[in-house]
Amino acid sequence: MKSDTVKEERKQQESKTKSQHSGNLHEAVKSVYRQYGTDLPKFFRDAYEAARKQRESLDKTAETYLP
Amino acid sequence: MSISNPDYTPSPHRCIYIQGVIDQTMVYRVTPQIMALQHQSRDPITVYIDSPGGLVDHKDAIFTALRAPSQTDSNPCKVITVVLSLAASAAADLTSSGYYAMAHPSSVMMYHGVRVPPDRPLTAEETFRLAHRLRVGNESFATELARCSERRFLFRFISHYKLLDEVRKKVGKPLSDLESFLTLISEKISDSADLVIVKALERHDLYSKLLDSTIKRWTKGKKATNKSYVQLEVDQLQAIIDFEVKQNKSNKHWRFEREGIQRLTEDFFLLNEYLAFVQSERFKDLAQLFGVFVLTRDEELSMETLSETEKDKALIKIVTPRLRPAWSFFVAMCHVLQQGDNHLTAKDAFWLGLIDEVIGEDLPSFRVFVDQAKQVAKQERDEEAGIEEGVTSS
Repeated sequence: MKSDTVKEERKQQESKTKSQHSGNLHEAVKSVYRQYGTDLPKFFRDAYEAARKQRESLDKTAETYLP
Repeated sequence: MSISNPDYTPSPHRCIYIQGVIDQTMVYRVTPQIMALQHQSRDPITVYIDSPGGLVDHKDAIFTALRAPSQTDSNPCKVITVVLSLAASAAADLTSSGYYAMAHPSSVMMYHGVRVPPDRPLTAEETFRLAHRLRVGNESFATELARCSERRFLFRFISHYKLLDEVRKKVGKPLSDLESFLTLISEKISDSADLVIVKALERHDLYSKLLDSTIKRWTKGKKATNKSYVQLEVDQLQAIIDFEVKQNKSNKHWRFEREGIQRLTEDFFLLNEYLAFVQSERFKDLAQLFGVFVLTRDEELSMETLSETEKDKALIKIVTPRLRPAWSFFVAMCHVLQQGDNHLTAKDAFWLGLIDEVIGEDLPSFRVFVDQAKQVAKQERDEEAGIEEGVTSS
């Protein structure tokens, strides 16, 4: 009986973690939809642009510290 | 600065290497390593691959070990697969089986069907049995590959949905969504991958007609929920028989006792696979999460007045027929990949939905989506907090 309770608790914990994770992603997707509508290609273009800027900023930081 | 998501980031500190032929020796070598990593933590395990393939049984043994539960956690560790330079045959299947699959830009992947080991002695009876087993094997491997990767292909399709009207305008033809999407990706892939698409389209045409005809039959008359499981199977078989008879009307030599019964079995399992997919949690999750991105403006507006529960139901109803052709095409393509040798570049594998990411390339991957979506959500929360703070201080 005890092992059943432990199993049940574990199952609930796993499902809670899973739903929290998918919940976070669901909220993030809703924000994307509010900002971009159905225009995912534009969303990705902005994502690459943000990544490019981040890379450039990292390169500049590295240059500052390199002799 | 954004922190890389461990579910989509390979880690050389928690990894195994599949280098060389996948055989029993490799199974003996990597199994203890996998057990040790699983004992350390339930974090993702990275599998670096550089292999010409090997026996499917040995590949399965490795993958089963990777997906093993622990005493305290029934969820398996997530598996991130990374192709270093080559993933052929069973190694290509292993790559696509990963929770998140990626490849280096210059790497090569090769998919093909089941083969007989060259040293196997063959008699006439054995040849007949073997031919049957190879065919069944190819069918089941195609289904397995489709299950592992369908979400990738559908994500690719949804990510580009907004561009499909532009493709139609450019081509000047009233193409379907699927045709427009395939036209779009054809420009980005090699000739070898394009040939896979051409063959898959032929096969998909048949699947499409079969699904249309049987779904129409199911939705007619008595509600499916009132029928027993066997009754539903009878309907399904009846619909397939009608469909095949109609398809082969002009062929006087066509008989069920020849190729017909074989076709019937294939169609039956394809329909089962489709039903299992559209009723599955994985499809509902996908439709609820990304369905909004394939809505028209009118549909978006009509859904604004609905409650959250009604919205989810309406979304699945609208999205299912829109995603069905893309799904059935992908299944057809997985079957085509089991015929002959299909050499693909890393980019081909990405656009065909067989992997999630090509390392170092600016491609619309799921990882980029998740990272950027979380940034957008954070930005939105920060802005809201700023407005609230402003209101409070004023």
